[in-house]
Amino acid sequence: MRLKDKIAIVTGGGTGIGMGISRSLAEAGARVVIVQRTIEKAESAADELRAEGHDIFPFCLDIRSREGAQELAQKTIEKWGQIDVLVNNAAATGARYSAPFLDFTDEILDEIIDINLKGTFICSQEVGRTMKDRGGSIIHISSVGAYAAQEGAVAYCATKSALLGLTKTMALELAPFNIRVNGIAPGDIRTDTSENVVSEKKDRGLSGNYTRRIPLNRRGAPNEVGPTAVFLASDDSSYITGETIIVDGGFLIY
Amino acid sequence: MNTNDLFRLDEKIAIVTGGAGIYGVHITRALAEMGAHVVVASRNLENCETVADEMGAEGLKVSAARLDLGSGESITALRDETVAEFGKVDILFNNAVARSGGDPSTVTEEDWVSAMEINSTGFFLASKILGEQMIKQRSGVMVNISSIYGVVGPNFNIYEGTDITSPANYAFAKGGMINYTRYAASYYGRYGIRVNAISPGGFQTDQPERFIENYSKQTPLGRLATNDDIKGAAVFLASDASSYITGQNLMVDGGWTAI
Repeated sequence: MRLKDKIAIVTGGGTGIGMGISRSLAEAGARVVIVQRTIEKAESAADELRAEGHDIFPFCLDIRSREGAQELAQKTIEKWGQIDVLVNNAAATGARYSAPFLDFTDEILDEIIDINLKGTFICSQEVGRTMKDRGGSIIHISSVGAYAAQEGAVAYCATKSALLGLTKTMALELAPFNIRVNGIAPGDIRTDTSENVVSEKKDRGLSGNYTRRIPLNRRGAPNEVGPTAVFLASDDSSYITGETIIVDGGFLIY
Repeated sequence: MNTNDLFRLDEKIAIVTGGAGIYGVHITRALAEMGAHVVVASRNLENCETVADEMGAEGLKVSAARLDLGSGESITALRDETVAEFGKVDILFNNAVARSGGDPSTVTEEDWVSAMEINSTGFFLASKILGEQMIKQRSGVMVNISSIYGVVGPNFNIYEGTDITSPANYAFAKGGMINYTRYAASYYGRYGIRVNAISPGGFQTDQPERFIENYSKQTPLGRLATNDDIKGAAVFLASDASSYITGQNLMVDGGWTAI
């Protein structure tokens, strides 16, 4: 049990890739706080994982809220005494956040930056402060979109690239506290929000032409990202910090 | 499969080239501790046998084999003997490296050619020849041990006041290895074979104290890599825990390349 007695927080941990991460961390022995913007999603995920025998604390939070992030850290420590692992997975994705660059609105641009970059920043600060005395592991969920263009996802890609810079500088500044900071950049993972990527693009007036053959010749499953989070959360990665691991079946090789 | 089981290597057959060397022994131990049978292969059979005996005495499954990476015949023989004995090869660690030669002021043509024979030709042939077996199996994992110096240039300041340096051919070979990792991942992916690299930072051995001080100061985690640091990464990339990772170069460098 790589994460026995560890306490982990996963933002957006109740759906898609986040749920896969929550399950992997729990299977590896961690107690997991599942953070969702709507409490129903947090609770239904918690119920599902509790039924599998895991210790889960569902928490309702909009990660854009400074006070909310403070409360998340405080309530977790009240309940379980410490925080060892933070996975910043919550992000603005899907059709609402996709548009051609020249048509992109201020409203959606602000919303994406506030959630993907600022929310990750705020949660990392509030949780990071609680880790100063005993160390920890912080993991940002980036994307292959940080490295390669994605049609219609200009703000998403820009914020996911921003997480690479955030990862490196946080790694440098938090190393003296024995807090390691790394990222995971998932590729084409099969989830509810990514089920019909190509057809949705065509519906929104984008070409949908720029899809690639994946060297492993299949889309990834949500449970194929979680073990990488376990690796980065555990002492198995004791000498790894400032790194982002790409989990994409080779998508970015070309 | 349960997450804990994804990191296990029970029933797996692994070959670690240079498996008795400074990284090799830790990689070998890590794989064997997770249940694999590891064949430690290098030019010096005696060193391999010592490692196999020591780890065998602890109950780990490790055996020794002679391998000359300067000879395609030797690589083919290792493959055929391993398959004859175990029926398959699941995991190949391309870890052996020739470190001959110094910086451009001292390295000779002979140094360069002899290093490339192992680090370039030998590495490629090991991948090709063991890859043929993995293609037959429609499964396999290759992990190539590169270096931070395959990604960034050396900072020569950290060698000042010491008698060591970063060899010129090392940068060439390790950089080439990383892009060959991408090539191989793309090529072998269709057969269900994954190919990744690990790029460790400086590994603490018997370097001059001055160097260790200089190096540590330049590393966010404030130290060189030690025995256990490579083990987790080796197991992660060799196992199903990384089932959707291929063509990746994993930095195990304490943050050296992040700054």
